[in-house]
Amino acid sequence: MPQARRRPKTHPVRSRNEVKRLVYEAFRKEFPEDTVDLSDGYKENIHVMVVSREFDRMREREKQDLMWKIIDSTDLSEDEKGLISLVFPVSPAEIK
Amino acid sequence: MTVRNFEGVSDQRKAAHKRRLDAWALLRAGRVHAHCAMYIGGYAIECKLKSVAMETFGCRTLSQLARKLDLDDASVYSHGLEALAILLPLYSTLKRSSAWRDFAGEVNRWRPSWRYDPNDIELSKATTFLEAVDRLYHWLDSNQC
Repeated sequence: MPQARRRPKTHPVRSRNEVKRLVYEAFRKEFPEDTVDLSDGYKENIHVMVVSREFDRMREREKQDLMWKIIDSTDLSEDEKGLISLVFPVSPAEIK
Repeated sequence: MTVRNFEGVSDQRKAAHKRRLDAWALLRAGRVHAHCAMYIGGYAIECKLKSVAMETFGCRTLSQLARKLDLDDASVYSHGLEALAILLPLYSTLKRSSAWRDFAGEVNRWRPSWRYDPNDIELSKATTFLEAVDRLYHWLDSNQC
């Protein structure tokens, strides 16, 4: 019996502002009390900065893994994720 | 006496290679040099992006590259890594690759103004940064047209 062909996964075409909103909401959900700042990068790019005590005891690699895990938890396409050109987790201890 | 500005493709290619080695040498010298290692490591990527752009478009100098792409000189002499990366035809491929996470997560934090920062930084942070520089550098080497 022929197997049903799987439909290719398609993504809606989102505006840049919609991508920003989805990224912001994903980070806000994970960091409800902390600073989540999304700003404009070069041209269409987006910069994400989070300042949180949660990063206090994490190594750089762990911070990055957590940030990208949150980005990957959205249903953004790879092209949409490619708009994010700066992912910057900061512990308050680093800026004091 | 003529002042060389090192805008040639071979200057930038060699400088990228040397600055990467310099950065690791500084890091090996200990924590007191770790911040400077990161500062120098950023230049390895700046030079690499410039040399790859010149090689891809068949230009011998940054001025030629600006003319070929119909840009002002500031766009190609920039220290802005995002502004330089976007010049590359492989930019969209880069953004879909794992190297983009190294770029966005570590390398793109780099600022020339780090040279004025007198504070020390943890060795582990500098190591993570330079590892990301290395992966991005090799990705650019392997994927340029």
